Amino acid sequence: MDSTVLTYPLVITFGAITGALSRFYITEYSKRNWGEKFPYGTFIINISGSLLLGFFVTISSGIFSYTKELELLIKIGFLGSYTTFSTYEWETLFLWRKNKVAATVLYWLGSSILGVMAVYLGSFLANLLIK
Amino acid sequence: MINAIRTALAISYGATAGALARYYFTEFIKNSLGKDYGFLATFMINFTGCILIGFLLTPNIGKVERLSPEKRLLLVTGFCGAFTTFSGYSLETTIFIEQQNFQLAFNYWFGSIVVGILGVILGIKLSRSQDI
Repeated sequence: MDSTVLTYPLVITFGAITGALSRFYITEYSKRNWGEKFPYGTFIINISGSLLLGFFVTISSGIFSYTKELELLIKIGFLGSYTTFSTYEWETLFLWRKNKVAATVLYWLGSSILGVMAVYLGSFLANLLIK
Repeated sequence: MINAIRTALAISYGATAGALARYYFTEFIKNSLGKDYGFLATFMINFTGCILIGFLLTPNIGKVERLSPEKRLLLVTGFCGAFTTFSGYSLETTIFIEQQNFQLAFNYWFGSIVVGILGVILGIKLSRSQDI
């Protein structure tokens, strides 16, 4: 049997568990310290996760040779599971239903614009290291 | 302490199922449609994840109880959170920008977040329609 049939799901699982737990603890920390009026936790998670993905995609095509397992662990497992789209959209609708129009637009469009910019920033930082 | 362990376990089970479902579905789409169509898988995953979270977080009054805290950790924080992805969505948008395919970049970028909201609303409606 092809060993990747086992190793691929294993490394994804390891990344997914650490990613989801990081997301949960950061969200809890953010609720306790900054309140629940604005979803700071998910916001920080999605932007930092996008930055890290931009970083790893660029650095893995640069000086370091990444194995397929490491790529699955970091990108598909950890970062895929750390960031979340469903909670982001749920929270957007939640802000809207609380009649917080400015916060809704800021969170909804702000996350998606900064997410794209964060990928570029991460890629830029990786290029600084490669050169 | 025991609560902290049960919490971490519930999230871990859900996250494992969510991330593996995302991986295998994306591989399936890439194998059936072509290597460049992974973004369609992300699009569908994010949409269905939004329907699911809307459904799960909406109590259907009078019939089924609100999700217990542990089921919520397993299904919402764990499964939905790990199944859907924001970093992949951001990255795929930049790939289209890099390819100078601005039309697709915009449609994917904006389409995903609009469809996501509609998905959550659909999930909420589906859950409420269970009420009698």
